[in-house]
Amino acid sequence: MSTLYSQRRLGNAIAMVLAVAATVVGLFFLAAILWTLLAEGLAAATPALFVEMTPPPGDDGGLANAIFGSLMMTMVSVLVATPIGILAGTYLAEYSRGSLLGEAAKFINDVLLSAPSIIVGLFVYTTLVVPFGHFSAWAGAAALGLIALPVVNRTTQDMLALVPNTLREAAAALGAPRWRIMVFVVYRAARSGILTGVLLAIARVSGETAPLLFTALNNQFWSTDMSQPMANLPVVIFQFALSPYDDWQKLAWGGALLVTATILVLNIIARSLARTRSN
Amino acid sequence: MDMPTDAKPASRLEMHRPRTDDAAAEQPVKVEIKDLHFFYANGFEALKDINLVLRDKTVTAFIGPSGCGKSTLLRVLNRIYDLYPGQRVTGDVLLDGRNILARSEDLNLLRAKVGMVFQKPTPFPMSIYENIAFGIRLYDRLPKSEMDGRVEAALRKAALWGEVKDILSQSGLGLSGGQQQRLCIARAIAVRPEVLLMDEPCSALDPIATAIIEELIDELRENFTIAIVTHSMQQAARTSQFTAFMYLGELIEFDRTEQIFTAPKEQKTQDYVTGRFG
Repeated sequence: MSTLYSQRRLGNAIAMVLAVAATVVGLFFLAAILWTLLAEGLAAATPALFVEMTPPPGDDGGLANAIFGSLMMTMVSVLVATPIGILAGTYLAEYSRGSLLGEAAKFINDVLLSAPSIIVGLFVYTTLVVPFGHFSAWAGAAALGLIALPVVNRTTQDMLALVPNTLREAAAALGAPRWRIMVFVVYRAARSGILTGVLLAIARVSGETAPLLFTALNNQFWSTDMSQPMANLPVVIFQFALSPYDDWQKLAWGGALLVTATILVLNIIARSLARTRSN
Repeated sequence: MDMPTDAKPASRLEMHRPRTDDAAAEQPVKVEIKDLHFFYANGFEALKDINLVLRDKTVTAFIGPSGCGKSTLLRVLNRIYDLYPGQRVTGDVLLDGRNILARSEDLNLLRAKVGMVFQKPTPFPMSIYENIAFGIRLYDRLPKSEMDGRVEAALRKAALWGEVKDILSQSGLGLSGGQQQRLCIARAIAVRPEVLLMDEPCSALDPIATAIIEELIDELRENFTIAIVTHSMQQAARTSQFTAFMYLGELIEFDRTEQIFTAPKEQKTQDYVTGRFG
């Protein structure tokens, strides 16, 4: 064996060991987090968690109002952000190619995508909370929607860019007008990818805490009034976890487990959708 | 691969397409290209002063090395280049005497008359049936039974019916490459165009699928005027009555296929068809 070859083998072995070590370190902390979460959270995962209200300190209770609030605000935010995000993504990917406006909008969208969510919270606080004089679930939904919007927009752009141009040409060559090409051919080809983007946006907003602290705040009671403050999982977890009370801390663990499990399930669905797409 | 039974050319004798090359040369002109120049957005002139005619119900092959402009020429004939801003042409392309390069030309109606099959099969992400019905629906609102008939007729004509008649509701993406390409041909002819443009329709296919499509091209000549771009000189010789040899954006020679392959007038054509360059 030549020295060059054995050197290369040695180099390969070293790189391999380092890569495996890095993977193990990364996975160890992930596993540690999940393990702690499971160990602490499962104890709190009782039926009461889903049906009882957040209790005052020292009482039994659940997270029903917070779960409902999170569902409501996430749902409203995604229902509003999805059509806007898809349409904006469609414009940027299909119609504004090469134009200055399009390039600028793409860039700004990418900035928004990585903007700290606390900034979004402050923005909504000054525009939808201060003028009305009180916190509200609408403001919370608006903040979450502003976070979901660039995610949906960007994934739509990316998924449309993956649709081969030959497919658009083939539809155009049949004499199809552009809107038909988009609706019946291009969207259909990118459907599962765009849906994946929506699911990832839901996953993203369902863990957001900072923007809700400034907008929906919290509510100790069951409330379905979107114009009033509303309980939600992230803020309840934040508040309860910091409290000195054992039963509040236990509920916080239960809520954390619930949020994590939801995000996990959404990610699994998104991944399996992405896989069906590539097949 | 099973040869579809309905693709057997048993009815050849009753067909009306010109049987001989002499007869082909007598066919009326379907498309006339006059003084055509084509420019890409960066100003590159991809076609230089092209003049030629496509005769009705004949096959014209475009050959030449990569980058010679043959695909570009095809893309002018249905103005698909219009999808890309910045690309422009000068000159005239007359379809039945009408200039299709006119600004007022309705591109959708033009493309209904001038169908296209692409190099890579491009089935839409929908069922086999819907792939065909998509084009028909652009022009006709038909009751289900009539639509079924049109879909079947198109698939039969493209020699695909026998293979897909029981799986019409399955995705077109599940077919083999050769089947997908025949699906695309069926989709193109379902719209009932007059001219069919084929841009290297067999380059992604194996020899068996290629043979099926070449036979199909000969059948399709019954109803359509066909222009085919190909890198295979054998394919040009087998399928066409006329051949155009292009080089660096210029039309070097345009003649009967037999003439081009046996006694070309230009040295460049001679060199290309004998494999000395390209």
